[in-house]
Amino acid sequence: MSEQVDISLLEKYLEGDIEAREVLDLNGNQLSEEKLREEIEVYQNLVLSLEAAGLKQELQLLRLEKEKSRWKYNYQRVLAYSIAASLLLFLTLTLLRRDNKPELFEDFFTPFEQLLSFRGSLDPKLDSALLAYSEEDYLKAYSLFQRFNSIETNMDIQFYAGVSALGAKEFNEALNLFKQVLAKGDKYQQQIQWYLALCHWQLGEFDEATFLLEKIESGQFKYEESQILIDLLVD
Amino acid sequence: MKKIKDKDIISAIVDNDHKAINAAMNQLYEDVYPFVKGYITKNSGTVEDSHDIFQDAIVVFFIKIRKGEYIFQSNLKTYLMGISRNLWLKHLRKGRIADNYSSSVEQNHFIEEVNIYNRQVTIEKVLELINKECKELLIDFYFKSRTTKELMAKFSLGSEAATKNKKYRCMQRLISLIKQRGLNKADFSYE
Repeated sequence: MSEQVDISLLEKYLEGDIEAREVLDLNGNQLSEEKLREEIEVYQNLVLSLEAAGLKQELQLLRLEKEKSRWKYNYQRVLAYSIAASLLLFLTLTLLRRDNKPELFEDFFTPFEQLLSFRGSLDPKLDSALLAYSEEDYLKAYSLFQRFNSIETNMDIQFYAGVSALGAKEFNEALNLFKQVLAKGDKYQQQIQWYLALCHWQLGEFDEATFLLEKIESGQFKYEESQILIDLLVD
Repeated sequence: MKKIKDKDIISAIVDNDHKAINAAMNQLYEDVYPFVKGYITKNSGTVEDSHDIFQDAIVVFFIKIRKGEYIFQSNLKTYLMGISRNLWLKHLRKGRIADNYSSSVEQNHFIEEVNIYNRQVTIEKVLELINKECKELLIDFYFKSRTTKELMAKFSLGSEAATKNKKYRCMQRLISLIKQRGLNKADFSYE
């Protein structure tokens, strides 16, 4: 080990920063000309080996990248074929369903069913309205809800009145009621987003409907239905 | 993508132009590897073997060019196939697997290439004995031409002087191991 050349000095010599006589071994001894030549050869060959080792690493990485691309390409092809097949199936079903267009709204509209807080209330008019609502007599329910003086200020009554109006296919009235509820607070925000979309859809305002449907996120009220309806509207 | 000519591949290696070398390697993998794979898998080898042999053939080719010993062949693909075949034959002989390939003429033409391969394998074994950080630092400096500043940042070394010292220590360690293992100049000289 003591005969080893000092690499730092050898590199400086090779870079032209010092003279040959200044290249020493690790003990501080000067090297003979022959020894210096030998050490230079060893050093240069070692550097070349390091370059070659680096190249080998790069080739190994290149191989992995190519395999990854090939896998990704094959996966994308399989995915593309699957999507194409699913779309074809969906379009076929849609075409079949187009014959039943008048029922399409009924396929999507379902009333909001959380009425327990209203049960047993002291107001018989409210009970009547809720009863009509639960019996899906939406026109009657809407008419009864409208008679409440507090409809202007009570967001719950407004909301159920809106759903009743929607069920009765009074789309403009439903739209106004839902917007008023939203202005009061966000208690029914998720539900209203869906119902508003149905209103716009039935009024032929497809862009507005799609815009609202696209805001419904996974896990929210009627997300799966919103995705289906978006496909229908875009179709 | 435009094809890189054989002479440009050689120039990239001579000039140590990393970007051009990467592009060249990519092209060689596309153009030559399938033939190497075909030969090796038909001669008792696996796909994994074919990748290893092809990469070793490229490394041998690289060393020859960097040493200034490569004589321009008519066809780079043919040359690399020749190295690959001979490296595979050597592997088969080592494993004593029967092989029908018997042309001694081709084997003699590639003796030097096989010797280069043997030496590189020896050095890579010694490289595995130094610590991983040293190995990575040396390859980053000598192959990837990273500056001292870049190495300082990558290895969190505090200062450029500390980085240079670390590089010298790693190189010194490598040479020491080479000498300890009784390897002399001839064992890893490409002369």
